Amino acid sequence: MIAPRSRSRSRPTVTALALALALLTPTAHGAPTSQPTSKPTTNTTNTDDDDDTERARRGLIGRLLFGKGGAPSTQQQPARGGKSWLGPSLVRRGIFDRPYLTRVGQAVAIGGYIDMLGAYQREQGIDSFGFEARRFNIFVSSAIADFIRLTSELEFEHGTEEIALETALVDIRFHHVINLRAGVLLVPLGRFNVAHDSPIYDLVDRPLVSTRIIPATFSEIGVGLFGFLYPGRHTLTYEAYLVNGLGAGLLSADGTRISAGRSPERFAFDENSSPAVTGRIGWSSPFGLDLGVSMYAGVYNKLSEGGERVASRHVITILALDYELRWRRLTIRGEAALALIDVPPTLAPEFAEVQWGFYSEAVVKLLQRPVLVFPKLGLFAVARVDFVDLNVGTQEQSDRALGEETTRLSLGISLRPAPPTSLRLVYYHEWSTDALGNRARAGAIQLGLASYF
Amino acid sequence: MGRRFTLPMMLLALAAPLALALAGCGTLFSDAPDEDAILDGPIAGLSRTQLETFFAGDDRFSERFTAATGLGPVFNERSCASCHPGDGRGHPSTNLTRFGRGDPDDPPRFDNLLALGGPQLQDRAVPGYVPEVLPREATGISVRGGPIVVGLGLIEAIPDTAILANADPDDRDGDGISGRANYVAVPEFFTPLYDHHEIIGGKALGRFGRKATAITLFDQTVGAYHADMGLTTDAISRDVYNPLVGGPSGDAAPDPEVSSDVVASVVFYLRTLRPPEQQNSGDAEVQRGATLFTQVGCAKCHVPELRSGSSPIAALSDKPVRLYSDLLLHDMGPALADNYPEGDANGREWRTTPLWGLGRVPNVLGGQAFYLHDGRARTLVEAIEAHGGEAESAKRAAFALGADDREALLSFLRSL
Repeated sequence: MIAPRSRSRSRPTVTALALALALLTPTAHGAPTSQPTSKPTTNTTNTDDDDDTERARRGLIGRLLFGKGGAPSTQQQPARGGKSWLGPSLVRRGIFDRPYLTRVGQAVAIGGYIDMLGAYQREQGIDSFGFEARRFNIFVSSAIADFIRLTSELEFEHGTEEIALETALVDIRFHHVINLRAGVLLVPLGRFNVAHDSPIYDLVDRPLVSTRIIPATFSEIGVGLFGFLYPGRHTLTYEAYLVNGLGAGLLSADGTRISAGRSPERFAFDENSSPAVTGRIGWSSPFGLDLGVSMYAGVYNKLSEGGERVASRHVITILALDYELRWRRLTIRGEAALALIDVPPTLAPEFAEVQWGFYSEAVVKLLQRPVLVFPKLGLFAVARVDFVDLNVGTQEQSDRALGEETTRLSLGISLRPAPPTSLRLVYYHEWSTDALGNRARAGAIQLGLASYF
Repeated sequence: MGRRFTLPMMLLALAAPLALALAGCGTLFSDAPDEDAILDGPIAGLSRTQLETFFAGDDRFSERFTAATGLGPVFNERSCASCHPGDGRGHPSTNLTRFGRGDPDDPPRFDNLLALGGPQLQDRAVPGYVPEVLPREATGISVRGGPIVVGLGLIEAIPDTAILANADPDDRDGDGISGRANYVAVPEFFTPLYDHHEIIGGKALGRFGRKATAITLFDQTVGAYHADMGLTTDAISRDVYNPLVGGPSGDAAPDPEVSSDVVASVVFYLRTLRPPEQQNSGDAEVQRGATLFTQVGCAKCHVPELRSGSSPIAALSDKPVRLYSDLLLHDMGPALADNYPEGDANGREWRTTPLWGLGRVPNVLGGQAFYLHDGRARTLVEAIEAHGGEAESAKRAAFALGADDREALLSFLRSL
């Protein structure tokens, strides 16, 4: 999917390493001069049916980074609502695999998406009904030079209730096997966190494991390396970064809540002067199967005050596996995550030390063809199962497992009047238990609209 | 395949989840639990303003504290609801420990070991602080769980005279049941709520807590904020701490960590939580069990009904209080003795636990049952079996019942 640059443009300083890795590329004795990536058998997401190889070749950012360099000509610009701007993406539909990046001027491209819904929910007899302006996100990408690109994303959640910088990173190209990334980046933990745009998906809510254990959207300030390898018709990717990391807020009022460890100050300083490590290795096969394994590990508590050591190190480690399988009209995807939290002994009974969860969803394309005024109307059916256990262990004084589990079954229909726009009707039912094992149920019906622009 | 789909079919597909949801509203959406199965809910007769205060207190009762909001520095639990889930009794994992040293039969001379962190063991601590450990010097160690907290406003409104009417400290009637009032020292912040809160020699009748050591719900509430969660209030403005491991400035939250209006709303919430209604009261077996309950002597301590006096809250005023307790102290024998005196209560005495809500204990503990002050009994039979002392004769009478009668007695207890 990525178009590696020619060997002649590689920097000498990285050539030694690059050469070794480049042996894994299709041309064996040198980096390919054009994109070599495997071609998926079917389209994964439901936004368009473009050939991935072609998209990668045409993508603005892809060209800037791994193609022939320079901004594309006018003829290369995608038509709005038609072809996508696509570039090298470590994960399908990740931040450089967005269809609606529209060029402004010579080297800047902008885009975004909107996500809103109306929902009726009833939990234990308590009703709620209302509308929610969930997200309005704006992307801006820029080709600073033919080997440097900047990508940013600003999120407005619930109108202006919460405005967050999700991404603001700079990539510097050395070679397709080794590149530098620095800035506010998406932690490559699982697949969803780095490919989380609402229009990609056909259900309204994000997967539970991807929000409660992997705290999507999980952005960090940091620096690291990424790259692509091409053994045979396969694609291997890697990412590895040092980031400031989660904070002590994850031991929250509600118990161990990893998402609460994303302190607003984390883009400014590392409160424990101990960077976290995160990385992901991905494999894309030529037969439509993508797999990823990823991790995050870092100290989350404050270690010193005024130069004096005040606490010992407490580490949180998160491991994740993700997959996506595309076969004809069917796409199956999911991820699982395990979090190990080293809780101070003085708090251990109060806070979970192990959490895990998974989700898996199947999307079936029922049709995609011209209907009435819609030239490419699509209809998709989707089903998802979610499970999270936020406190793995057994109760004191009884052998019963601790609760804090949630299982959710979601069923939905997604109508896409145009590939980037999803109008979805979803029903879900949720079964949950609290720490003592008291059970509760909830059901909801949601009507959501998400669209790139 | 796509060609076979028509617009009507698409619309049908879109409408299917909606139709499915609407068709099975009760199943697909979650209905409210049976009123009889749960404990929380306001007492009937509250005004709208009182209901607002009630629900504000409900939220505060469930509030979980952190170091940033004043928790600790040493503590046992992080919220009221931790020890009283669903307003019911607590899981044994939330039991707390009180300790001291001395003769358990001589309460005035019993040493609460304040210098060693007594009288309560705060076995958890905020980061950077050290939790307490049980000192070797402790000889009286009392482990106890949070009791059910419903109907407390009615208990508070029972006149002292109605409680004292059942007292028989010298067992003058010779039935083997004494029943003593626990007169406890009035705290500095004590403000009488009712005329019946009579202060005699700096002491007043205690009625709340496992040993009846709290006079009013306000006392009980600020005491729990302080000792169980390490939270300061206007009434108790110093953090709890262990002098062996640090000073009272272990947390950085400004005092009071719980404001007066929050305390007031929580007290109001506790005061107006409705008492549980007996279930299946018309069932013949339950009725026979109620008769047996009295016949075997259980009702001598677990007095079925007292009556509230006048109250500024109309919903509490002059009401029958079917609590199944006399609110007095009784010697419960060696098996239940904790050797930890409090107030006038010695190391073998406990206040008669109200039995209302007994049948709903498992409903808030994930289907598990834990009975007695420390949750040691997993069944009602085990709980009865542990009774001794003044309850010995009633227990023997209960176990002497035939199988049918014993089952009727248990059915009655489960109906409460």
